[in-house]
Amino acid sequence: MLYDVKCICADKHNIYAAINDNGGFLICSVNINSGAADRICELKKLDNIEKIGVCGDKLYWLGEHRSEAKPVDPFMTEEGVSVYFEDTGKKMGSIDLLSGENVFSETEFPVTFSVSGENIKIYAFDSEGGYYFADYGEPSAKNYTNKLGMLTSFEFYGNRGELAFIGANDFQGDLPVSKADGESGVIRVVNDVYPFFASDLCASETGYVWLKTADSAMSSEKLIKRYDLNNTIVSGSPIRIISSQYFTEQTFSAGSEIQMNQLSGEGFALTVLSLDKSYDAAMIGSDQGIANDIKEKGSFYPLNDVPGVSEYLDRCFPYIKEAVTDSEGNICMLPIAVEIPLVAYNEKNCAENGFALSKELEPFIQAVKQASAVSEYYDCGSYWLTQTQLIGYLSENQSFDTEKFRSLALLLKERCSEEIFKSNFELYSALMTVQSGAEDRYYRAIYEKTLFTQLLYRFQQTALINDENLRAAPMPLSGKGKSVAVCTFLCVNPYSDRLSETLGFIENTAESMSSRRNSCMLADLSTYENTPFARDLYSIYENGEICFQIPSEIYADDFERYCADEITLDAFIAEGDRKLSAYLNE
Amino acid sequence: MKNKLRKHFKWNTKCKLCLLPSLIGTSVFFVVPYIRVLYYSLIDNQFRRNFVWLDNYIKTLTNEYFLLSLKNSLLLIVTAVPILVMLALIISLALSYGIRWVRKTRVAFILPMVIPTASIVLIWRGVFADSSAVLPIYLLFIWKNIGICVVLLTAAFTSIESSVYEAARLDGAGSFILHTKITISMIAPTVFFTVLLSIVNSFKIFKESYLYYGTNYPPDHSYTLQYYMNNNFLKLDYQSLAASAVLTSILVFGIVMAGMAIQRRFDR
Repeated sequence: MLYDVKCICADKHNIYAAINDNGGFLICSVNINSGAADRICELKKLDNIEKIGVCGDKLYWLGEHRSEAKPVDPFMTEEGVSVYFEDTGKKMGSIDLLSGENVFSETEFPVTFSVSGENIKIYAFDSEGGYYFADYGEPSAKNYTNKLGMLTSFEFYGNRGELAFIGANDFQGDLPVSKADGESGVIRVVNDVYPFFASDLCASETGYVWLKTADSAMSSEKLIKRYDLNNTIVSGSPIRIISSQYFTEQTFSAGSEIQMNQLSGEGFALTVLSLDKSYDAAMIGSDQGIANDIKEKGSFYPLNDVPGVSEYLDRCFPYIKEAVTDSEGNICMLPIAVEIPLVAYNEKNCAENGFALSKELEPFIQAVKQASAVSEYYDCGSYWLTQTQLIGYLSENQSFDTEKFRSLALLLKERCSEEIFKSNFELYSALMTVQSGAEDRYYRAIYEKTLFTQLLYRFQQTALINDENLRAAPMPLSGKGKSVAVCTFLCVNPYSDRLSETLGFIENTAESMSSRRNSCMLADLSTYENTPFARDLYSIYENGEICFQIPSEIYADDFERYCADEITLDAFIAEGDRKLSAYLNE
Repeated sequence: MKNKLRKHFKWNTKCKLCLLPSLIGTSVFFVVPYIRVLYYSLIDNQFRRNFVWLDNYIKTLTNEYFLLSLKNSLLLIVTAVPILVMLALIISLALSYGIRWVRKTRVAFILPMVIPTASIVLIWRGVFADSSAVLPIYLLFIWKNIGICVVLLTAAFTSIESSVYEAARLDGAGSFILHTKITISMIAPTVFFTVLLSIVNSFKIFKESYLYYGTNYPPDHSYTLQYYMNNNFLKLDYQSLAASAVLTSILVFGIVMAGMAIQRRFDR
């Protein structure tokens, strides 16, 4: 008889398995020596069991009861950053191996857990402090950390309290490393590791990590690989990087240990302007108002003479090189990632329903309308659609008082506020789950019906590079016919007390970025996989433009008020122009 | 004589020693940073450090938003400060003369000083329907600062010895002469101090204004010097910030000097 085994774990004597059993799961054990099987317990009303782990005389499990999922308020950090968590009805519990008794955990929103020696460490979320680590036996002693985001799996290795994890941004050819101390973010990454979404991860005290992986992001051949994490640090001291916002892109360690410190806007400005020696580099996004000021004022160390940087920029798309070079030819920033929000669509499903996605705004909106009439399996929130259009408009205009803007505003208000523009998070989960090779009938069914979904982040996009059913299309383009790209930069602090080490790190990072596959930055087509999705991705990123953006504070709230009919278009234009003029001219 | 001199010298030394912590504090936290800001206002930026001398000042003085912010800050001084001081004078007078209903409400004048600004602004936003009007900020400034002005002026009123009035009355002075020649002249130094303090406080209305409007770009009528400096700070434009800070300090210094000159003339 064949069993549908969802996951397994083992101790010295037994192998334990969670077996799918029509609407529930059986937890069984098999004695390694005798081969005798034993049924321990039955867990009913669970849609899925993600992970089991044994510690002492208890078996711990993490599963999902999807109908019990509820909306969870995001947590707002002191810096004003919202930390989101999407509840999928995850539950956790422990089973006494002798009596078979199951006890549910008190943890309301568990994310994942790990067995570490005699201890069970859980990673969970609450609205009071965001994500946190805690011991299973002491769930109220929480070590809050909002630097790692959503994890799908983590394991402790070695004896330094470090953990390797697979998280939301795990598809970029890196394995990130952190600590469960509540302070550390991604302290470094191990390059050229391609874990899959929700991959099983194993680790040993000797510093080895095993995981399900592949030779490249493209490879369909899955392997179990062992990595020695003891030898992944090149430089001795951590590179201290400050930022004033959260970045999804953090996978650039190139062998150095990274110490990320996210500051408030004022804290960041104060640190930079006071010529603080205690940070090495600053991480800045082109969507931040200060990015262009930094470029124009030459506030950071010019990277022209750092070996490999010019060569790396020559390999990038020309608009990226242009964005980091000032009028005097100084390279003031090192681009480490570019992101263009796009739409992944199932060509066959869309064709069957008689529509195609357009690069023009109005036909695009029409296509969404058509999709909404035939299916609920699409995702197109109005926020990004509106944002990309407004950013694109502002990249070529310095006033809202134009006919072009008036017609754009009317279109966005009339059409994008309709209920058809909605988000459907399940589609993304379905795409990722199917991509990982996991057998999940629920998500497989959703995947097969999917029409299209917005993908905002590069790690989401590159995760689908191997999918044969999906294609990628740009969001409606700006007036210049380009896709608005957001670039993440690293700038070197010229007053850092570890300047030479930092420049070494920049050199290694440039070298590492130059040899990346599917980077979405390199202009050499041969560095991309030869799949339809990869080709689409390449052409979208090739046709990008980096707009140093005007802070959304200038217009976003007022535009929302206009869309909600609280103010007229003329009032919005007057207010927007006033703020814009002040921002540009003060 | 020698002993006297020695004693005097010792006393002098002791006084200087007592002043030393304050002098060190002032130097470390005010004088040195001020000199540094002055230096930054004369260079192109703090990374390249090329001297551009008065370029940053010219740029600032010709910037329409600096001029707008200067105009708004001065308008606040010219309109709200006299109203504030007059109101505080009337209340202090009523408190000093023991008008019962005013005495009963004296806690209300102190309350704005202890209530957190964020709570005050929340109430203020509830009171005023039009969140883009300028009046709320002026009223907020008066409401927030009236407590300290009342305290200072009431102290000045109550410090006038009743024997002074009695002596004047014995000399045949009427109530008009009593108030013009005694009350006003004796509280004048405190009034000048209150005016100067209010002027300085008018430059600090940024926090209240920022919370009230909820943006770095308030309506033009409320765009004061602090907004200009804060926005340049957030844009990492330290040179504009330094130049406008120096110009503001010169303005405040000028106002204080003018106030003191008027006071000296008044004393004579």
